[in-house]
Amino acid sequence: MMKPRILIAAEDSFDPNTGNGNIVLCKEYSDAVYHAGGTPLVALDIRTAKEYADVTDALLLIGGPVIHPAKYGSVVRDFSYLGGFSGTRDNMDFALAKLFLAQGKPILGIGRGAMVVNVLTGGTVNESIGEKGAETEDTLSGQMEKLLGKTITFKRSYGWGIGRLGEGMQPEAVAPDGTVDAIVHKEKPVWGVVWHPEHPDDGAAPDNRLYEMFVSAAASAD
Amino acid sequence: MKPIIALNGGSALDRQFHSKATVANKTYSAAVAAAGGVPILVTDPDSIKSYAEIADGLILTGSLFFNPDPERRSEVSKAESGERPVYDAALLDAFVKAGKPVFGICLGLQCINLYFGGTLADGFKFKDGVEHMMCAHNCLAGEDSVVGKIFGSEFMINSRHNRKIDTLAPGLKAVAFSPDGVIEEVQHESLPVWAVEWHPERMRGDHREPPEGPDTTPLFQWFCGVCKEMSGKE
Repeated sequence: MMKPRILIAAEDSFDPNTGNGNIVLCKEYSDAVYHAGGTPLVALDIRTAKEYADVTDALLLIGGPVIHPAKYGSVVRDFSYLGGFSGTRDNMDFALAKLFLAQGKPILGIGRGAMVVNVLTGGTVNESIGEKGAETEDTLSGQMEKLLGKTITFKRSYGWGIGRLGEGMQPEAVAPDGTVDAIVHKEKPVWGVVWHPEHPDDGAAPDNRLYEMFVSAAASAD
Repeated sequence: MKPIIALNGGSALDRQFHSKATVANKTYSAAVAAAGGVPILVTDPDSIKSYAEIADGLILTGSLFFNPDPERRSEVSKAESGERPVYDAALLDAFVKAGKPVFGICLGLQCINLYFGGTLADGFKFKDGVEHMMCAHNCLAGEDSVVGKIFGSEFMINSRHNRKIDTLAPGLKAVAFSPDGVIEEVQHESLPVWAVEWHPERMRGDHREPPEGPDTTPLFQWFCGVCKEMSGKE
């Protein structure tokens, strides 16, 4: 049997040394996909977004810079907030996510990717969630509780996060202050978590169960 | 159905965590997408067999590093000269054994020559007294040259390499040269394997390197066409 093909939308911006745009993929993501039983493939050009969605089984949206506020109907209030913002990255992530969502193929959003799936379904970003690096112990429910247990402790990789929930999205990891850190779609195979289970410094125990669940879903999808 | 073209990348650290990563220069993928192919970056050494099944052809790209953390520069360059050649050779081997088309660019050409049993001359500029890094010169294409059929027998190309083919591998033919005798294009006598020492992906559109050179989009259209034809895709 063919292994499920997992498309990864990677980092996208500019390299001043070569004077060209580049795509960069951290090996932690491809390792996590491979060890969960999938074949990792990286998207490179938005003009072939449709073909990527047709020839792969699921989409992994990974960590990265903030999303441009215009994507969730807001405005830039402070230009320092945009930081390492990448318009080409935003466009690729959203173009792919839209296609996979429409085809009913699984999408897993990690870190920034969780915010992308939330915004894609009509939600917003909370632009100041607290301190980057702060530890939090979240209470889990639903699919996340079944998969990972009653709580999860991790360190925040972002000072921004999930705001108003997208349509059909349920909160399945909630911090003591009410911040939502994981979302799961009620009907579709769409998940988003703000922590980084593939990254050794995310503060949680090494754990590939989320990736395994995702790759299994990709294997069983039509 | 468009042909799927696998591209390999260079050694890098990622921007977010500064962990081990793979980088692709968008000049390659843009050239493939513009020419009717579906460019996919393949990064995982454990998945090479699957990559050779999924993709209809392979472009072995040139050397490239990316490092957002200057203090860890040597780590990235070590991987480029250590792990990367091993990965590239394994990828090439899988596509050659699958009978699928391969096009090598710069380091890709060198990798192909080594794979089939040739040798390279490192730092040849000091011995020969000719510079081939970050400059431009003519390409003199012979009768069998693929680039000659598209761009003519003499045209300007860029030059961005410190190594060249020393002994040509058995089974490979040299079909284009620089005026000072560097092999600029090779092709295999019986396998669908082609390669160039220069960088056609940097010679497209309005910002060509060098500006006197032709727009090389037709070369990528030719390769995507070969991949599509050999895949049997409608």
